[in-house]
Amino acid sequence: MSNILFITEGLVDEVNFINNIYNICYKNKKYNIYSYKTTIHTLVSKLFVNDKIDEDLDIRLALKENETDYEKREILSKPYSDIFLIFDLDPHHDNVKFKKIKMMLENFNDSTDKGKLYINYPMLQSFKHLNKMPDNTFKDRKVMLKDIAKYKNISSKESDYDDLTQYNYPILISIAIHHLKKFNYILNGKYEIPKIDDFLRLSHSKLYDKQIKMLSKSNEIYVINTSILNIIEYQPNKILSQVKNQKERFFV
Amino acid sequence: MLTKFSVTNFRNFKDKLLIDFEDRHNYGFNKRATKNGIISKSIVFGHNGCGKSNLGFALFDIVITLTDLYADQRLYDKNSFLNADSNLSYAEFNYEFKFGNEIVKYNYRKSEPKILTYEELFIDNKLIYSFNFETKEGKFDNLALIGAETLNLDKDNINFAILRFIANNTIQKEESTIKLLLDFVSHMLWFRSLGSNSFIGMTNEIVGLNDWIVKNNLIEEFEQFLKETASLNLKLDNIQVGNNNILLEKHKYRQLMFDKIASSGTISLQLFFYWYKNFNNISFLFVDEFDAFYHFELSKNIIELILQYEDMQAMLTSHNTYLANNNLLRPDCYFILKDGQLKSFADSTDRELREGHNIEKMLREGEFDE
Repeated sequence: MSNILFITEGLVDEVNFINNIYNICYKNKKYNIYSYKTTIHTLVSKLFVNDKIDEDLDIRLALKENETDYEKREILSKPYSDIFLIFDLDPHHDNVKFKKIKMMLENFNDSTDKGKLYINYPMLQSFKHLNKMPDNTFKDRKVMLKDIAKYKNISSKESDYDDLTQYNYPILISIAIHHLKKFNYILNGKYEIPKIDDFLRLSHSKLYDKQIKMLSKSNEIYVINTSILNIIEYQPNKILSQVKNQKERFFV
Repeated sequence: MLTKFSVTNFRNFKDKLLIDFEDRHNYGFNKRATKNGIISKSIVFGHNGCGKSNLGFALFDIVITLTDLYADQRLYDKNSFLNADSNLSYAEFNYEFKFGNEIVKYNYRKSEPKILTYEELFIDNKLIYSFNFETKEGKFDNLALIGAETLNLDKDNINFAILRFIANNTIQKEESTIKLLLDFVSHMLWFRSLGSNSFIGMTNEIVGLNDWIVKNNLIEEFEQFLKETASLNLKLDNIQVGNNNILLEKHKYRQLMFDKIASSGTISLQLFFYWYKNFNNISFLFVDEFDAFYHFELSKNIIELILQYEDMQAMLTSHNTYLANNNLLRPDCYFILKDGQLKSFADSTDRELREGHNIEKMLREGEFDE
């Protein structure tokens, strides 16, 4: 059985997000959440040696080095079939730091190996930044750099799906599909559900690249949540064909 | 090829244990681990005492049922034959083979290693015969399909497998189903590399390995084998003492007796070499704890070697998680034996496993545990 470790930036919203998703989609999977309570840049500094990722580090052990809480140390000591890292984009940094995040995304791209890093643009709350689905306006939804500080309010206000506890399976899958289509749009110019092979090729580091370029050029980024794609992670064939073959059930 | 096997109430398998070798997952990689839609190379993992050795004994029961070939004495142990937690009076064995397009099912029950209580044979789902050894009743309507219609069977006194009687007392053409089946069974080989040279099937001959190497002029080939599989550079020679050949390791100032100084791994590899020379003739190979003494690279090399023998089905048991790797085999070729049930990695998770998955790590991290 899968035994999953989530390493998250925040303590409350991330935990609610994961609990809700797994309660609806993956009741039989076991997981632990380790809240790191600091930004991705701090994490990066733990994993890099001389501007390069130390390939021999096990992220669980690296985090344990500074963890003093007994229970949290226990969480980091267990075996896990998957490790997922969920962090927000931190736009207020220099090029050197952006480069490191990109390297992180290139290295942490397999949950069953070192771990898989999801970066949310601009932050976790972007998952719900949708009008009544199917929402075709989502394709071009962006956020200005100056508005990121108040993004939690913006996403709440502009969301028709603000209450996470009201989600059911079709709604969750439909939300994930919206973000998946947008991923495909940003990378390949096509606002559509990718074929399975293209899905497997979607690169989180390329997405990051595009977003950072846009940020420096026009001080804005696309709103997109990658952590919600976790729902599709385990059984992409099954879920994508479900959406394709049962159109009446989903809002895409 | 063996396509399915199940056993019930035998040794630690109280409930039915099923092995299904059919390739149902359609993985696009490592096709070399399959042949004609059948998983042909597999590795079984499992905790100590979960019954990995018993799985081998169960599979090879058919060898002592249908042939007189040598078999490890444990296969004849009456006391442990039936499951000790059940009061069922027989153990049941079900074999399904595929020869060309023909499906052959051979089922039997036994109350003791040498005492059959029931036997039946199906070809393409047609019952050829069935016989109850206790009531002496049976159906023999379709014997003509296997060229045995004139069979003169003494039903009251027969005390061994009817299939064996048929094979020995009818004239079977070279490619007949009965011949293919008996050929398959008499070319199954079980061995283990722990301790003495214990084996089941293939032959009745028990040889001294050193003597065998020398007599067959295999010293150079054995040196080469050690070098290629284990990166061992040994120079070997022999002397004859009485009727025995003794293998020697050549060194700069003197020679040493191979038997006295070879490591456990090398001795185990020597045994492997002996059976390896038969690989072209083996239909189904089972090696118990095949790499108990091996360096992990050597274990991998042995699997690579086995993979070269396309026509040989092979099942190996191991504790070495290094072998769980999609470079070597596939998630449907790796099995876990637990609580008397055998399940492939592919069937032990609801995740869609891909070539890119690190299945060794997943195995260690409990992905395939219940």
